[in-house]
Amino acid sequence: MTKKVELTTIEAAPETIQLVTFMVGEIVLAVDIAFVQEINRHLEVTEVPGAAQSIHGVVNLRGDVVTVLDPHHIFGIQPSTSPELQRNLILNVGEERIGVLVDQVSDILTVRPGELSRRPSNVGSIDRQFIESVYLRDDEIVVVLNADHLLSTSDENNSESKAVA
Amino acid sequence: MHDADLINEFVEEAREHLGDVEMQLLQIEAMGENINDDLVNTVFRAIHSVKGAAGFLGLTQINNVSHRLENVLGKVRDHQLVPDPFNVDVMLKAADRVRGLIEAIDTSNETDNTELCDKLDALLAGGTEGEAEAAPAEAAVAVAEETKESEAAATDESTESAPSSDAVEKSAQASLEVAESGVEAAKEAAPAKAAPKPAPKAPVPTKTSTPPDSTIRVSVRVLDQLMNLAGELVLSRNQLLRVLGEQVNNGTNLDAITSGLDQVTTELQETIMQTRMQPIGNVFNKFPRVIRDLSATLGKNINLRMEGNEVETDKTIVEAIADPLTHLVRNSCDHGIETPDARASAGKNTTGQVLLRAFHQAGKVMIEIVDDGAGMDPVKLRKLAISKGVITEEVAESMNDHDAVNLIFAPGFSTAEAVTDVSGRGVGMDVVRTNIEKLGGSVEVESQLGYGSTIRITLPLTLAIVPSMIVSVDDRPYALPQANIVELVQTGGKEKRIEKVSNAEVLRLRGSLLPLVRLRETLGLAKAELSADENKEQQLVVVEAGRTQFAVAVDRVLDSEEIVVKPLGRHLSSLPLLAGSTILGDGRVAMILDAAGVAAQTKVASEAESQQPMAEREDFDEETGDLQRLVLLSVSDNDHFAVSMDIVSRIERVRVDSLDSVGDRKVLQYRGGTLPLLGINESIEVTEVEETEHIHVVVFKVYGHEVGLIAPRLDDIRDCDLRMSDDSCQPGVAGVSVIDGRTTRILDLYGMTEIARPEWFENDGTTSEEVENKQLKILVCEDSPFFRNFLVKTLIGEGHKISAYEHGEEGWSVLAEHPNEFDMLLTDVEMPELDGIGLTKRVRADGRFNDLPIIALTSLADPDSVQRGIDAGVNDYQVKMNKPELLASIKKLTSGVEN
Repeated sequence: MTKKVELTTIEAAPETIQLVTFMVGEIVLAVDIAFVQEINRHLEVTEVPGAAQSIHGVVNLRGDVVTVLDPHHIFGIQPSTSPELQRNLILNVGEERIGVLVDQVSDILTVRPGELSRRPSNVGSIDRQFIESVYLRDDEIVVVLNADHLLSTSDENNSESKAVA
Repeated sequence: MHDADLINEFVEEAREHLGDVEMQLLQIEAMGENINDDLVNTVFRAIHSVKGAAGFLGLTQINNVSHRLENVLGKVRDHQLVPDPFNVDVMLKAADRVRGLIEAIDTSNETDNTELCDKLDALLAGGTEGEAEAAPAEAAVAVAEETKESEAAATDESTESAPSSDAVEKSAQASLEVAESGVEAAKEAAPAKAAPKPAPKAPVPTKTSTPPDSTIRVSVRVLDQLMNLAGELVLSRNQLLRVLGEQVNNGTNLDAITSGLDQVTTELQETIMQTRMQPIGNVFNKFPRVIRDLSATLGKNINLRMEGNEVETDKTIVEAIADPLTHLVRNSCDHGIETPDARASAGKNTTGQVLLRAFHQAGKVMIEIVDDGAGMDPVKLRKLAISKGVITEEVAESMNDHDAVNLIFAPGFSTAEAVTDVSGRGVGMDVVRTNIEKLGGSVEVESQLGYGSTIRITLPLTLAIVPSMIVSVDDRPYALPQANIVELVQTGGKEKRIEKVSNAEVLRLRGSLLPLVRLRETLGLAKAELSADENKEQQLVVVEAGRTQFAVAVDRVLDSEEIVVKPLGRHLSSLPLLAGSTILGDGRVAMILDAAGVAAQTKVASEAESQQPMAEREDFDEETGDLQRLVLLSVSDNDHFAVSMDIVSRIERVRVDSLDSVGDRKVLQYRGGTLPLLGINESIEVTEVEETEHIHVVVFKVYGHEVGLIAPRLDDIRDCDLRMSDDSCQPGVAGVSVIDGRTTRILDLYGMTEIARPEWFENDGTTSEEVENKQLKILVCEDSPFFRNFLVKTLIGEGHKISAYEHGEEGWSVLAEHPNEFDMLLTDVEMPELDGIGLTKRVRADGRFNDLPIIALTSLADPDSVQRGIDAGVNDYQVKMNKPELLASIKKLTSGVEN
C-alpha cells in the first residue's frame, strides 16, 4: 500500500532541490522532498470531535496516531470529486509527523534555488503564510508550501469550531 | 574546554552520591553525640568523591565547598564536633549548595560561595571545642589548600593536553591523597590537644538503608521506546486474538500458541512497566528536611513519620506528585498542627505528629497525610466560602460537613487567618487538586475538629496503559477510562427513567437525579440521523469526574480493553473533550474521552457542584442519608427480598444436594460443624419457591449462633435507597421498598428467626420479661425514616416508650427541655444538622445528663469512628438492624444505671 518516494532515481545536482508536487483542487502545490516521509493511499480516517475544520482526522500509521490536515479547508478549495486518487502525504516536520490529504500526487521536480521566486504575494486563494516560494513551470504556477507553517496552522483556528452541546 | 561526557558522568555520579546525604545528615543530627561512625563515614566518603572529581574537572567552587564540608564531617567523625541543629544546618546548606552547583554545572565556577565557606571554616575552627584545636585544624586546611592548588594546576595541564590521560588522573589522585594525608596528620595531632570529651557512648543502631539490588543505568528514552514497543506488541496480540476468535476452531495447537503468546506479552509488558516504577520514597525522603525547616520557621514541634516508602508507582507520577505533596505537607504543618502552647492548652502532646503514608489499594496508590492538629471547622469553612463567593448560602446550608471540609480545594480559598510565607494565599489547594486530577488521581480531605485532618490522594499505578470501556456512537468507537466509570445502566428502549427538568435531561437513578449527556450531541456529530436514532436503544454510562457524577448516553457499550495511550499531535492536543487516542484491536483509532472535559463542555460540573437548585441538592442529601447496602435475593420471579448487608457475616454458594436434613429442618455441614438453615418460606408467605441446583446461604448471627438464610437466587449486593420504603405489619419483615421497579420486602432476620425457631429465644425469656417490666423512655434520633420506624416498632414491641426525631438538633431541643423525661438516648451517627457525635458531645457537656446512657447506631463501625464516639461520651455502639444485640445493650446500660 505504501509507495515510497524513490530518491535515488533522480540525479540531483548538489545545488538543486527536489519538490514533490501534488494537486489540491485545481492548484498545483509542492513541498520540499526533505519533509516527505511517505505517501499513503487512503487509510481509515477517524474523525476528531471538537477539532478545527482544517483537521481531516487521524490515522493509524503503524502504531502511531498521526493527524491528517485537509488543505481544502485551509485554502478554501472545494473538496475533491474523485477520492480514489486522493493520497495522504506524510510529512516529517520538526518532532512530529503530519498527514496532508491531497487530491493527486503528480511528480517530482528538480529545480535550482534561483528558479524559485521568493516572497510572492498570495496566489489564488492561498494564504501567504503557507507559501514558501513560487516556481514557474511552463505556464503553470507551482506553489511551494512552507511545511513548518502547516504544522502550526490550525493553532489559531482551533477555538473557532468547538463542538457545541 | 572539558569533555562534555566526562562532566555529564560526574553530574550523574554526584547526584547519586548526594542523593542520600540529606537524610543521613538528619540522622546524624538526631543522634547527637552518640555518633554512628559508619553513617558519618558514608557521608564523608560521598562528599569526598564529589570533591575529588570536581577538583579533577576544574570545578573550583564545587571543590571549594565540598572540601570544607568534608573537613567538617571529618571533625564530626573524629568526635571533635558534636552534631547539633546549628552546625548540621550549615552542613545541610553546604550539601544543598553543592547539589545546586552540580545542577547548574556550567556556571558553577562563577558563583560566590565565600560566605558559606566562612561558616564552614568557623565550624572547623571549632567555636565549641575550644581554641586549642583551632590552630592545627587551620594548618590542615592550609596544607590542603596548597595541595589543592597543585592539583588544580595538574588538572589544567591535563585538560589542555589529553583530557582523559591516565597518567594525569593518577597524578591528580596522588596530589589529592597528599592533601588528604595532610588533613589526616593534622587531625591526628589535634585530638591530643583538644578539650577532653565525654567518652562516646555505644553507637545507636540506625536504620541504614539496605544496599539496593544491583542496578544498571538506562536512559529514560530507551525505556520509553521499550514501552512503546511493548504497547505495540499488546495491540498486535489483541488483533491476533480477535482474528483467531472469529475463526472456526481449526486445531488446538494454535490455541496453545496464542495463549502462550498472550501470556508472554502480558508479562513482558508488566515487566517493562516495572522498569518505570519508582519507589514513592524518592519523594518522601525530602520531607524530613522540609518538616525540620518548617518546625523552626513556624516555631512548632513537629514529628514526621513515614510509612510505605517502598510503594512503587510510575516515574512520571512520582515526579509529578512531588510538588502537590509538598504543598499539602506544608499546609498540614502550617494550618494543621498548632503551636506548642495551643496544643498544651488543648491537652495534647506539645509535639504534633504528621504521618505520611503510602499504600496500595484496589490497584491504585494511596497517599495519606495525617496530622493530629486542630482539624478544620466545617462551620467556619462554610462561612468563609460564602464570604468569598465560592458557594451560595443555599448550597452551604444543604452541604454536609464532609463536602464543607473539601471546600478547601475550591478555587480562591485560603483557610489561614493570617497568610504566612509557608503556605499560600488560596491559590494553592485548587492547583493541587487540578494537578492531581491531571495525573488521573483524586484528592479529598477528612477532618475532625480538634483531632486533626487526613488528606487522601488516590493515584493510578501507571499512566501509559489505561483500562477502559469502549463505547460507540454512530459506529465510531470511543474509549472511556474505567477510573471514571461508576456503573452501566440499561434503559431498555423507552428510556423510561430519563426525565426533563427545565430543558435539561436528567436520569433518575435510585432516587438521585443525574444530569444526562448525549455523547452524540456533545461530540457535535451529525444530527441529521438523530430523529431516526432517537428511538434507538441507548445505553447509559454513569461517569464520575472529580466530585461530579453524570450519565452519558451512547449507542452501545462494546467491550472493556486495556488501551495504550497514544498522544495526539499538536493540532489536537489541547482539545478539551479528549484525553488522547488509542489504537484498538482491529487497528482503528479511537479517541479517549476526558470525563472532566465532557462535564465542563456540557456544564454539568458547575451545576452539580455549586449552582444545583436547592431542591435537588436536598433531595440528594436526603437520599444519601438513606442509602443502605443491601443483599438482594429472590425465591421466585414474584418474591423479592433484601437483607441489610451490615448484619450479614458472609455468603456461601452450595449445591442443593449437599444439604442435610435433621428432622424436617435443613442444615449445612460446614467446617466440621453444622449450620442451621432457615428458609424464607418458613416464616414469611411467598407465592412459590423456585427449585435451583445451587443456593446461596446468607450467614448471620443470632445471640452468638450462626444461622444461614437460604436464598435460591442472589441478585445483587449494592447500595439501595430505602427512602420510599413503607412499614410492614408482617412479622419478620422490616419494611417494603421498590427496588429496580420490583416490590421488595426487607427482611428482619431476627424477627424471622424468632418465628421459625422460637425455641432459640426461650432461654432469653426471663431477661426480656425483666426488660418489659422496666418500661423505659427512649429518645431516638435517626434521619432515615426507614430505620426510625424500624427502631420505633422494635422498641415499642419491647414495651418501651419512644420519642423519635429526625436529627440531633431536634432531639437535643426536646432533651434539653425535658431533662428528666428520658432514660436513654439512641442516636444515629450520620445525620444532617447535628450528627450523633456532635449530639453526644453536647449532651455530655451539659451537666444534667452525666448518667444518661447513650447508644450510637451505625451501619458500619470502623475502629476510628468507634473511638471518636467513645471519646465523645458514647456508652455503646450498635449496628442498626442487629435487634438482639441492641436490646441486650439497652438492658445492660439501663440496669447499670438503676443499680
